[in-house]
Amino acid sequence: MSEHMVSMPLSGIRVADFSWVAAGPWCARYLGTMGAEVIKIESTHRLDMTRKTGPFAHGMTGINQSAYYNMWNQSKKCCTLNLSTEKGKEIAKKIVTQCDVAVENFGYGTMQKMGLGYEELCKARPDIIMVSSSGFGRNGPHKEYLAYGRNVQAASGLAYLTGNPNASMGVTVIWSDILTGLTSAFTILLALRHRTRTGKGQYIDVSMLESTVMQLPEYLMDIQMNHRDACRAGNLNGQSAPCNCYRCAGDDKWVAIEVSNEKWDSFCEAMGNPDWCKNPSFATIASRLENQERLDQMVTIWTKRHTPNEITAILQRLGISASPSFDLDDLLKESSLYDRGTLVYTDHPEMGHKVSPGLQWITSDIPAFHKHAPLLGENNNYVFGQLLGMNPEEINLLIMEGVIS
Amino acid sequence: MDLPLNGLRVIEIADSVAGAYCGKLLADYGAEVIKIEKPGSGDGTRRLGPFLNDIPDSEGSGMFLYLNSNKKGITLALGDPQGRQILGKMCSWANTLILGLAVAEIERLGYQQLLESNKHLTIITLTPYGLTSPYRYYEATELTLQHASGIPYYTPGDVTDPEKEPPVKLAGRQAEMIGGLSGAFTAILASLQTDATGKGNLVDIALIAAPLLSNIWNLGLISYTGKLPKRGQIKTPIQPQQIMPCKDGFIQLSCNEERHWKNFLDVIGNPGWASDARFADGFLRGKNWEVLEPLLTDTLKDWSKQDITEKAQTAGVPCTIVATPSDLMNDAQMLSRNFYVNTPHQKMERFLCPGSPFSSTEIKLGKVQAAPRLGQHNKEIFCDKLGYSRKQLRLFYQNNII
Repeated sequence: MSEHMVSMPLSGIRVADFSWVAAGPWCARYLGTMGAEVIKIESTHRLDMTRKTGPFAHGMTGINQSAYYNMWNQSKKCCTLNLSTEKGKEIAKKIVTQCDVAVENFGYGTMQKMGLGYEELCKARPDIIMVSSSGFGRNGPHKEYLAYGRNVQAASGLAYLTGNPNASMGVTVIWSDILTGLTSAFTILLALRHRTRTGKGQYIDVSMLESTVMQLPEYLMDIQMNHRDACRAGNLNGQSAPCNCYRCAGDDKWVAIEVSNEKWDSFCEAMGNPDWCKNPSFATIASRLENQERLDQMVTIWTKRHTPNEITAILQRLGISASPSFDLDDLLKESSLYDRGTLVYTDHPEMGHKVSPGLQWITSDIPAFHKHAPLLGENNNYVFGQLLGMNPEEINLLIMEGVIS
Repeated sequence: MDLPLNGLRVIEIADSVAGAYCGKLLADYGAEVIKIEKPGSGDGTRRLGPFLNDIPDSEGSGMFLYLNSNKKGITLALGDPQGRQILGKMCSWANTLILGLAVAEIERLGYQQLLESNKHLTIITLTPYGLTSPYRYYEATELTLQHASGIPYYTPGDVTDPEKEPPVKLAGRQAEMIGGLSGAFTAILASLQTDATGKGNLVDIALIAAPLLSNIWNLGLISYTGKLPKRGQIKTPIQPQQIMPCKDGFIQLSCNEERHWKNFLDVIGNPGWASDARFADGFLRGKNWEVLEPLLTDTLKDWSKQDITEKAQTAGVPCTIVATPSDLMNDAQMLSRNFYVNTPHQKMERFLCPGSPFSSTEIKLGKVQAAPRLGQHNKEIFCDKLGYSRKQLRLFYQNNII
């Protein structure tokens, strides 16, 4: 049953992936990369929105041409099932009977309205592990709130707290969805261990808001301990100085530097011991924090004369934390990221050979399964013919009836 | 209390937020986690704070207490050969060893030897660039981890003057913590693998990597179109999808679809300017945002953020407040789900921290157990668990082994 030649942690686990867009698919992708058989259930009548979102390969829109869909849905199979038909719902439940896990992230009440809520899925598979992720959670006064990723990032405090002090606040990268996807995958592993010990499945309700706030505890603490309601501090952290992102030589090139107190003298040396370093305003960590803006201006005089790589090399040789502030152009040229499987290539039947997200780890004995995201309905024959044991006539009839669609 | 990770035996050696968060997530769901700290000074996060009234207190550091609740704590001098010998003994008890340390320190510990001697043992390493990276000996902090991941470069959104807006990190310790979460995830994965094969694993996590992967949108752009927009030239095509000021703060208004905008107009009373042809659809509104934005801002200045959010959501508009830390403490949704839990603090009767980001029909968490005082469980672990005598324990103290 497992298509993998070697034992993988999730070999033998099968997932019914009802999810779409970002957080749900990202969760299911992790499971697929670790050996689970993930069956994404889509429909031409209800396409995953990312299939319709550019950029598109070759500049042509097409449901199998979406870069975005390919990023979120690697290592999965896909079947089409029209869940607005009664037969479609029945077949979905038959798929679930063969699955250990079901993942969904639709709006509040959607699965229940389709007759595919937890109670119904339990009838199909009593020990099903069902993970439902949503912006705010499935209970509480905001359970029906509409939210895109940026809404959750705003509600979580992350948007308010992020940004340069004299410029705009906000988070434009897709952070909450990524974090929630990994969190959801984590809960599935907990549930699998629970099932091994007790034989029971469970329903798990993952909140994107809470997943994000888990990683912002210090702000809650500061309010309680010191009545301080923090606001955005850019790259500053109130503990080190210099500590910022500095302009370098080159077109919009920057370097991040953080100098611990013990390294201040080494840092001055790295800059060639300019006279300004001896100014009492910069003599102690306390005075450097107090005069941080001026300090940063002075440091910039030095950094502007060098490239980020030069600065990084000079400072790292002295044991000082520094890194270029990379853009993706730089990162995609970094061979170590490919060596470590952080970035991988996938070969898509229609989009070709493309750089794709890999994993944040490498291991001694757990291989990773990376495969292009599925074409719509790519695995219909496998799912309906092999897994559900339907014969070709049955399948054809369902296609004609618009059920397998 | 029956929890999913009962039976998972974890040793945590972590002078970092990443390693400690990894151990925390395992401990919270039932793993037995023993944290090893340096004798005398203890973990670096004891000095991280925040502190009550800003007074440093190694038993009162907010981050230490959050990251280390539900764990046991011992001291052990791992720089000493005898300390490493004791670690070796502990590794035959453990099934998971978390190492959240610099690569040089991990190498000095002799991790390969530990794997050789304990075939069932999984070691999870959490290092800035990874054990095999050409940059593995680079010094790193949260600031440089994030900048190395590429996330800050695009974080200020619609930058108008790139010179004035340096790339900026996400608030908090996002790289360290998503790294820790990755560690907890792989720790359980590895345990599933070991159940099947009997053999442990080495899992080498790079803290720059998980944030890097969140750059999905831009990765798609460059991989499939070959081009990335330059900072200062990125303009949100459809508006409003923006943080907007209102009477007492800010809201995130995301009218991604036309019906969201129509619903929003109903909420704000269909002002006259709304029928302007320049605002007829999302792309036009994006094109003419300089004209629309001040009109919208002027309307919103009379609305409180909670009020507009409530009314907008009721009308079917993706609108949320831009929460400040005090908004978070009072958030009706998180409070109703009991998301905040009391975390023991010696000097505070009530110290609320995030609890669990999910609810479940089966997994029920109990009260949060206090993070260990420095060396609190030395006797329990060295004597009761590892079988050293009280006399040996005293000698360990005398020789600064613990």
